[in-house]
Amino acid sequence: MEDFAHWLVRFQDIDRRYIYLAVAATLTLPIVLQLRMPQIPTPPTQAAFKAVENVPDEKVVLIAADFDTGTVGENGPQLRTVLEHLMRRKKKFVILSLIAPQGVTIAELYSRTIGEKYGYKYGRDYVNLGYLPGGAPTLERMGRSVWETFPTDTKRIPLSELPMMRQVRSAQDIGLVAIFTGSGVLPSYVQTFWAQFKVPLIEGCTGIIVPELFPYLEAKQLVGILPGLKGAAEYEALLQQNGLGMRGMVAQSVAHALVIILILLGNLGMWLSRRPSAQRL
Amino acid sequence: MLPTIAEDRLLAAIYWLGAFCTLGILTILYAENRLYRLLEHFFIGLAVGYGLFIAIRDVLEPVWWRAMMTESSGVIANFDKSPNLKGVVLDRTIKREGDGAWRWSPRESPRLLLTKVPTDWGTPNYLRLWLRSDKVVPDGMLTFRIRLRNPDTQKDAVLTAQLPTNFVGWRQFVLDLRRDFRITGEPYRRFEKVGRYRVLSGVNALELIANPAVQQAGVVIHLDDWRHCIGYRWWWAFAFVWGLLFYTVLIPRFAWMSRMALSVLMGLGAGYTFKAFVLEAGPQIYSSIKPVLGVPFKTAVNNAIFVTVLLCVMTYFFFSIEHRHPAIRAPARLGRWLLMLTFGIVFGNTVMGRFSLFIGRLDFLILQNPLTISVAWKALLVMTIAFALFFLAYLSVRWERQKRRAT
Repeated sequence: MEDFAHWLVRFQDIDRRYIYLAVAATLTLPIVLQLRMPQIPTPPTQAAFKAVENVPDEKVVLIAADFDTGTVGENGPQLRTVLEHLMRRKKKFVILSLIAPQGVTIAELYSRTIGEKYGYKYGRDYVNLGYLPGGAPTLERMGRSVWETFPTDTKRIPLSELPMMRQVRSAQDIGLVAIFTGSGVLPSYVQTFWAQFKVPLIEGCTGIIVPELFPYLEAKQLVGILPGLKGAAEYEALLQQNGLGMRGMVAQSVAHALVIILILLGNLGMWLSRRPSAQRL
Repeated sequence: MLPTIAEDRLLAAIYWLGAFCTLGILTILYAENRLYRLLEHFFIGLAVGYGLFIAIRDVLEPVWWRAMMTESSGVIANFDKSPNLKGVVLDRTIKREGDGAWRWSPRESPRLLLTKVPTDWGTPNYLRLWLRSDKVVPDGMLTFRIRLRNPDTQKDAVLTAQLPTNFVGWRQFVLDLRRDFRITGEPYRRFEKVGRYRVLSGVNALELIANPAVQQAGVVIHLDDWRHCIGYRWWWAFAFVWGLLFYTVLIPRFAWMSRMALSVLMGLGAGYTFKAFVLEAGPQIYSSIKPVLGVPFKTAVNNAIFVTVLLCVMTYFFFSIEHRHPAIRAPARLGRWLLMLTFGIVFGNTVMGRFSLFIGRLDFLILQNPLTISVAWKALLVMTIAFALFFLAYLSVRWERQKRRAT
């Protein structure tokens, strides 16, 4: 026991690089072994799933890809699974970004790769409007007239020449806004699409901003949330899909367990080192 | 000429470059080193360059420059193909642009109906129509009609304009949609009837009718190059001037000018923030007032917890009274604990976020590897490269230390 206490006290001075190595190993092993664990969808994810299901056929979904490669680890799987869902249900969608130029490129790449499976065609089933900064005023203008706000898509094709966009003129033609972000872009969409145009919103967010979103969920400004990678995994479970969310959650859980153990050992060591008897150790 | 590379080889090269950069960046976990710094600069440069390129290509060029420098026109009809209409033939010699123009004889067919026209015209302000007459008909008149069915009202609307035939040769008619047309019904979509531009959609036919004077004169009319245009939005040039005002801050003599630009921006921001607060925070405040009585037991407990947490946290931030009285001190202290609990949740979520990023990279490094070998071998390969790069980082750190010692 004395040896263990001694080890715990010394453990506090462990080189942090050993911890990095341990975390890397615990994250890598489940990925290599391709382990799976069941996911129980939480109400916010279920609500987001239902919102996508309920989009009227004549309306499109606005995909706000407001993330870049910095948060693609979380927003990427979320976006992939929602796109998969949209394509399974033959829903059309429009991609745009207010704050992240890379987001629209990533979203179009996903749409193209997933779309091959479902025979989705650019211009007919989905359109990339690109990046346009300006926050809420841009969205307000877009809600009133999509054609005015975006004269062309990212390929420089006038919207009048894209078959799908002939039906998409204003917020009235948008059935749902799905935001994917690691930033605080949500207020812009709440102030415009939710408050002024009465379009429901869902958000796939990074783990760090989840607590900030609950007031929006409580006020029904957000219909549903996909919280971090877990949200993606839960959505995949609802979709009965085996994507990166499911693949990553085992690694995530094991690494979390390791972090909890390390925190406990660290605190125990600190407590032992502060005891008077620890002076002898 | 550049050599052609097979797509799969190119994708493999991109993958290995990505893998090298990812693992190279991760060498920061060992220590700050030259390899990491090199790749960090590479990534920052790439991101800035890409951002600048997108800002020019997707924002400045189409939204600002093209709006100023072009009419933003769309083709209604170019009359390059042979018509299947009575009294109209394709003329390849007399034309304005393209392969030809339509030669119309009003005596033979006084009413010309074009049904194969684009249905969606966007947000035009005026039309540009090229017509040619081979003789002057002083009291002649052509009636030009745009027939459409409004998608919102599902009712027909007609825009009518009169074109005099008191000219010889080609003439360009510029018809302002608001000034030169008589409108029957509601042609514009309701929701978009805001501001200067309005969407014309559901156009199903164009009509050109010659009056009796034109018919009797036996005149021949040529039609070519019809367009709808938004027009030059020259006023966007002021945005450039206004933007430049911000840079006057770099010249002390003119620095006061930057305050003008800044103050307008602040005024706009403040005004919008007020509206934003009402639209965003208003519903949240309203939803915070929850009933504790007269609701099912579970809801009542939930609501009671919610209200308690809300009041305690608000008490903590209530600094108008000193937190000495137990009635203030106790809830304020509880509020502080609850805040710390929230910060703990945020921290936990942050850890989850960081792990997710690493998992995303692992997925890229191991599972998206284009080589057709087992996952275990892919992992081993990645680990070998990682080991080599970390060793390089170790050598870099050691070399820097030795250099520092020597100096």
